[in-house]
Amino acid sequence: MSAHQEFQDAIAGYALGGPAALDPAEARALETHLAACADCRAELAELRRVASGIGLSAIAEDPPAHLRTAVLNQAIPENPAIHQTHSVIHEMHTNHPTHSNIVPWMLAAASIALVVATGFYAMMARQQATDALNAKAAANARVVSLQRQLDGLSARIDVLSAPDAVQVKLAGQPDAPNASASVVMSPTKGMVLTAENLPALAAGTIYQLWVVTKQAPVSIGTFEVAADGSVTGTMPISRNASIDPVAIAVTIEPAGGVPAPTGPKVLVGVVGH
Amino acid sequence: MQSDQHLLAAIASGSETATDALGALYDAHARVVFGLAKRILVKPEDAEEVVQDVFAQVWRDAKKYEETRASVAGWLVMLTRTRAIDKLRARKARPDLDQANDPTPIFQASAAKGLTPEALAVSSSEAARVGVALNALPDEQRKFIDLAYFEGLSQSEIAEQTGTPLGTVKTRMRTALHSMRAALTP
Repeated sequence: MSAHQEFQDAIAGYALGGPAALDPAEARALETHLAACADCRAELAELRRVASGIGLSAIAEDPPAHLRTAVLNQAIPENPAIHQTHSVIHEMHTNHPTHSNIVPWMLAAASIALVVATGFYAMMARQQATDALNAKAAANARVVSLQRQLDGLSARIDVLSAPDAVQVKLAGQPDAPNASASVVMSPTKGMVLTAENLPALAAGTIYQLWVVTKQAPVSIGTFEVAADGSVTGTMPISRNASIDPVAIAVTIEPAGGVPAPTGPKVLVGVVGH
Repeated sequence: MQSDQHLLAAIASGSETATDALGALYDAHARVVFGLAKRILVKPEDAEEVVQDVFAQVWRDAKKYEETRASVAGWLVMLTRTRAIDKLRARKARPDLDQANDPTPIFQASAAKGLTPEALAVSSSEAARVGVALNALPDEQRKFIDLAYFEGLSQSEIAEQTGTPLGTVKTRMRTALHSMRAALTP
């Protein structure tokens, strides 16, 4: 088997996930080989193109509108003022009169002082600029976070104030006897779920919310809970789920959710009671 | 409309038009970057952070782009995947802390994850061909590609998690990538 063939499997793994995809020794051996072998480098480049295609094949999705503002606010052009100030002072320094044969040492001392002062000034200015940029970045992050909370609250108010909203109380089941929840459901605006005392999830599992209609259980979505077992969230409601709803339930399902409930019910409430 | 390369050059120049160029690049690619980050991280707010980080890196490193030979979209995808997987690993390493810091509930529609015609339309034709080829893979191969690319698992971790011999994981992964490459050259 030639060296190229020997490295074929490793190159495929490396193209998909970088060095972390391989065992450390294997990754080192491959990198050493790649440094010396143009054929294998070309092979890696081609398979990386395929890997990029895998990334591009993920379903594109509109990010929230506030994110564009946040991205552009991060992009602050380099502040030319610092360099300008620095170069003006530098110019003053180099254009200093040269008829200095009278007291050359004084001039030298002054020059040194000027250089030190210039450097110090530039350092201070740079520090102030950095502080200002950091403060701006922190403020931007705060704005994004507040905007997110605001989006969530306004979606919740939409549901709670909808004329067609109905409330359903959910009671804890044997697998979660202390849990309780309330759902407000509006066929036009969506659902708000508020739950308390849900048990912590085992690894690889997630809570899934269902509207059980006369036809079948319809998945509304999956969710996790805070460390204290509480959760509040708003989610859209599909047309299927709003026709003849009979009950609302929460089950524990494998991470990622399932098309029809399989796991234990932890909360159940009957619509219209 | 300016090409991606022109936009990157404008960003790299740091001139007055740099911010506008970043905005144009964002408008052209943010949907793909956000979609990929969300595919990997699921939580929308984590995906938003990745989008911010990726475009911040583009802003800083636009000059370095020429050194890479990928298309701009390919470069963005690479940056996005790397940052999202880093975040995913960090999250796995401290699940409790993560949950305590982030009590916001996440509701994720549990829709099928297959490619939609819309996704094919927005991707470049090359990516669309890879997407079709990806969907056409046998389930076993497809699963390994998903675990490696979207979940950042190493080949050994995939072998362990799926109870498959390491050699089989490697072979299937290579076979899968090679058949997708064949789809790239029609």
